[in-house]
Amino acid sequence: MLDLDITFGRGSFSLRLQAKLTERVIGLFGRSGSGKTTAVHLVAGLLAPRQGRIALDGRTLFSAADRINVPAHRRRIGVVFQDTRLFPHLSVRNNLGYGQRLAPAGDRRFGLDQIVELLELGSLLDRRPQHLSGGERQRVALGRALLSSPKLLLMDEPLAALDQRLKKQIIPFLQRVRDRVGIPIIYISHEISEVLQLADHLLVLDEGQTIGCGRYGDLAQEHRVLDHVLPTGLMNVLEMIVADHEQQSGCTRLVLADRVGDSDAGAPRFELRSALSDVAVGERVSVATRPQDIALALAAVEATSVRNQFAGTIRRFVHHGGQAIVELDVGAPLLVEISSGSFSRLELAVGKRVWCLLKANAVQLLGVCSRS
Amino acid sequence: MLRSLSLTPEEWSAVILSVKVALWCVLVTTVPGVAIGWVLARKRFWGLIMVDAVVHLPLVLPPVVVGYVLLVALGRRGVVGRFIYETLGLEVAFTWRAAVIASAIMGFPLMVRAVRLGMELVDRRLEQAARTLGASPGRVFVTITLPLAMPGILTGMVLSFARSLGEFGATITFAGNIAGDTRTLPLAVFTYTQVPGGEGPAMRLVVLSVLLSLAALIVSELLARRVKRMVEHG
Repeated sequence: MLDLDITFGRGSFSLRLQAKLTERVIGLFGRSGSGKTTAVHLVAGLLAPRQGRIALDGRTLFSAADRINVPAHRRRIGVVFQDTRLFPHLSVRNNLGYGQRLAPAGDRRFGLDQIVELLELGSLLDRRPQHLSGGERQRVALGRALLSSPKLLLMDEPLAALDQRLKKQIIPFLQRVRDRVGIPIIYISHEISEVLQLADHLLVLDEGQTIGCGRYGDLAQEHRVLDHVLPTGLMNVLEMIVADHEQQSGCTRLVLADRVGDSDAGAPRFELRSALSDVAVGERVSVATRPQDIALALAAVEATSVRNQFAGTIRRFVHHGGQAIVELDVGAPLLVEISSGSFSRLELAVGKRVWCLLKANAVQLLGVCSRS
Repeated sequence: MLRSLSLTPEEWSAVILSVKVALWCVLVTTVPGVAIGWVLARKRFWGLIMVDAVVHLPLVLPPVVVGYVLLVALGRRGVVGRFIYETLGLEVAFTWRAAVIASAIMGFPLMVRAVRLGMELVDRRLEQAARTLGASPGRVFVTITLPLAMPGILTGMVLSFARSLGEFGATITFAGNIAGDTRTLPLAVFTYTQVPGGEGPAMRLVVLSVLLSLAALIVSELLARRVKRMVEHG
């Protein structure tokens, strides 16, 4: 568990971080300039806070009151930097081994071979970082950080420098690391859809202030967070499995993937029809839909071009700036954004059953996770 | 050309002495040069400008002044010189060691400037990354900073070597001009030009001097390129 209560200031910029992070995977979300990278440097020990306390799993890393400031190399906090920072004078193999050799023998969690296999680095080992593509460099940086066996892994916008195509290629590796490696992760990004692919608990920063911390669905009902998130847009991110390509409609049918720890495996799963074409049956994919792309109706609509109609129950809602942010239970939590006017015209309320309408081409593919 | 370059034993001894002094000069200045270069590139403290000025002083002072100061301090009756003589039994002034010290001090600013430049080019973000991987500051220096600054350090070493080959004023003042002992190449050239019939030997040594310096610069450039390739491209 990471316990943060720190302030930091430099020039006109000031940062106030206050959170108790208990989930294993946390997304740190904020606009550029909100202080995310400064927060990473503070937690990693590359910068010293002015005031406050940082503790990881009960071990105090920084305390202004007790004059404790554990230096970065003894914090055992790994960082995957946006600019990878691979050592240019070392081969990939030696980059990977750099931190591994420095970890106390009893704390080493992986062998080189395991990480090489996990991140598919086998063919790169004898190359120099200069001869790698952007995506390869990022995988090596991730492997290097993992091999140092950190107690916490900070991923500071590892995809920001990559184009869309490469992002889609790297995210599965990040998800693999999340699912197969037991290291706590804080994933930092300014893109909500990217964060949500890896974490459903978020810490939201804006202008150096902690404005929210908790489950995404809960944060989407908080005004302070909505003030911050709405300009860029809320997002529903779902992990689904490609069921089949429907011949007559030309749609691809997706079913909700099991979440780890799901028990009601027998219940009918939430399904979506999408216009995705470059995915294969059986693949596990991340898809996104924007809450404002979903329309609500009180009854099923016959004779419509809209491909997706499904029923859900309103769990909660909040009115914010003329919009109603509604959380539905459709077999998974789903956010819908409609105008407050429509909301009252339909006389919606918590517990009410409604129909959702979603066009197939409003379902975007974020990435292919793996074959299931 | 080659035949006219056949040297007398006396001329040979000047050449060998010069190379020996230059190598010693590099040997004794590299570690302090790297240390001071690193401090100047990385540390910010009150008095830094003073350190910088003192290090660069030999670059602007007349060499004879440097030689004279050394003589006063390290001569047998000088404060430091007497101490060294009494404790170690070593004479410094008017020996080849004096030639090493004189050229080391004259070449030190060049060494420091090159090292500093090399260190300033090292990306500090790489050092940060090394720290998050568990490397102590000392280890970061040895495994990241030093190898990446190597082109600058090598350049500094070669400059120090070359500067030593050419050192004249401080050497003749502090080490004297003793044939076979402290008469380095430039001193020998100077001596031959002062005696009748010395034009021939002087010219031979001048040519040799040019070749030696040229070789040092070419070797340095090749070495620097090679290291640069090693560091950047494998």
